[in-house]
Amino acid sequence: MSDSRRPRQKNIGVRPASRSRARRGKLSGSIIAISSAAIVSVYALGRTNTSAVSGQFAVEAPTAAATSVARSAQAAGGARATPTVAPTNGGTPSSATTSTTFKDGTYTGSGMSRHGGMQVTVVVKNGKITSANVTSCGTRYPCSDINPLISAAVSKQGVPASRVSGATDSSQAYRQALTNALNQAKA
Amino acid sequence: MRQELSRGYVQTRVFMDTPVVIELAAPRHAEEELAELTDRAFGWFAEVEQRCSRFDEGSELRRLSRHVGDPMRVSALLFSALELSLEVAHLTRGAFDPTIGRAMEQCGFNTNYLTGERVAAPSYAEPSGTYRDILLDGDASTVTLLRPLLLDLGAVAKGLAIDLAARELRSLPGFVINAGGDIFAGGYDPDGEPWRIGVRHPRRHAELLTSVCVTNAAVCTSGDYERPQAAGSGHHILNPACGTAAGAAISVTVIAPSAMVADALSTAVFVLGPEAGVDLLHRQGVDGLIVDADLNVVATRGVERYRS
Repeated sequence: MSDSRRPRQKNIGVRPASRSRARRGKLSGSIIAISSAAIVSVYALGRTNTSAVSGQFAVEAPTAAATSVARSAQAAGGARATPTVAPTNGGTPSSATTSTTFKDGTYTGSGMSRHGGMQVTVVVKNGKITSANVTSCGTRYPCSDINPLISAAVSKQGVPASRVSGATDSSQAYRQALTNALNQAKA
Repeated sequence: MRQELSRGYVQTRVFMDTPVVIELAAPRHAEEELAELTDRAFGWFAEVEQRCSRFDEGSELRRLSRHVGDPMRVSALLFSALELSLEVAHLTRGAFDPTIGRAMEQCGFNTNYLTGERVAAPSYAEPSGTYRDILLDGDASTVTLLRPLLLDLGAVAKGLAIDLAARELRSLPGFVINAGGDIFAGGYDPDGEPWRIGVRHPRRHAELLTSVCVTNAAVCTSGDYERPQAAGSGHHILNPACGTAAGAAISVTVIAPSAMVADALSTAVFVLGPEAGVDLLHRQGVDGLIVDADLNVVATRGVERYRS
């Protein structure tokens, strides 16, 4: 963060189509260099919305915004999550598998995909997640795809991490719905 | 499904219609410190979403889309995302094109996931625009649109967010950022080994096609199984040349030093198809796997070294 505060002065100039075509040949291999420079300079300039996320969503203390997001998603009835929070607010806040205890109860969250929604109902007993089942599946993909995720949510006591590249739509909708449900259980 | 499980510190939030999971392998760090770092990492997703959203009328990207004919000064973040998008567009002669927004809206990708509202295709967006109608001036940090365009930085913007988040976490011994199946794995796993990243099978969803072992690298996959359209039978990666779904490849995984590159190239290769695609990857010095409709796998020469 202490690097140059100036925007990057990379002299690529105005680039009309004709000139860019001429440049194409010698650009080979440059995408990695462009991306590296971009990441360093954008990071150095810092975020403009620092107040939106930093420190607000500690693991043990989700904010009121988190709760309202989850509740509005629940109110949507599972067909589609309709969070009311603005994008600048940091998205739908966190769920963690570490040292988090949940309030006993039954919580419902919704997740949306481009082609349908999913509703997940989480049951918490004695501070532990005892089930995190899909109670409504509107996606075109078979919801059985995410059975391993349901087991993992219970065994990991939270949204399961994934080290798999290439997400299925239903797994994304499930994680989103589970995140929303667990935000209520922590509130 | 071993890869679905993890030890250590895990947090999930939703940005850009995508659950973002951050997993940290840092057993000696205090949880408060990890929580703060994770917040800062997620903050970059919020920042990128705020600037590059195609759906938010007030985003910097949408403001730029409405600004036609003379230069508009933009943030370094938006400029960088556009710059990389245009380079990939040039390299692929438009197979990858950030002016695809109009075609995507026509195909049904017009829902703001935060509000659920439909975003009307603006009348100022002309379907005939291409990446050649965007001019960048690096000295002035300005962008000039030669005609009305609906810009879409989806592939690059998410990658950039992952990379910025990764930079925030780089002091840790190990971390994995997974944004809807696009992954950056930094450092080493809890056993001190390179992270083993699964590549999902494009047709048998519960299975892995293969695994790759990486450190400080991104692994991004573009596939036809990710987001089928709301209506119709196409899939979400569109060939800008014709506005219809590309057919030859059904899944492309790219391993690269940054998620920006891996995400952009996996999208571009998906459109180009296996032959032209693997050439592009070789020329760019990155590795990848391409699966075609018959489930044949074409790999770059360097992929083997990631398999152990």
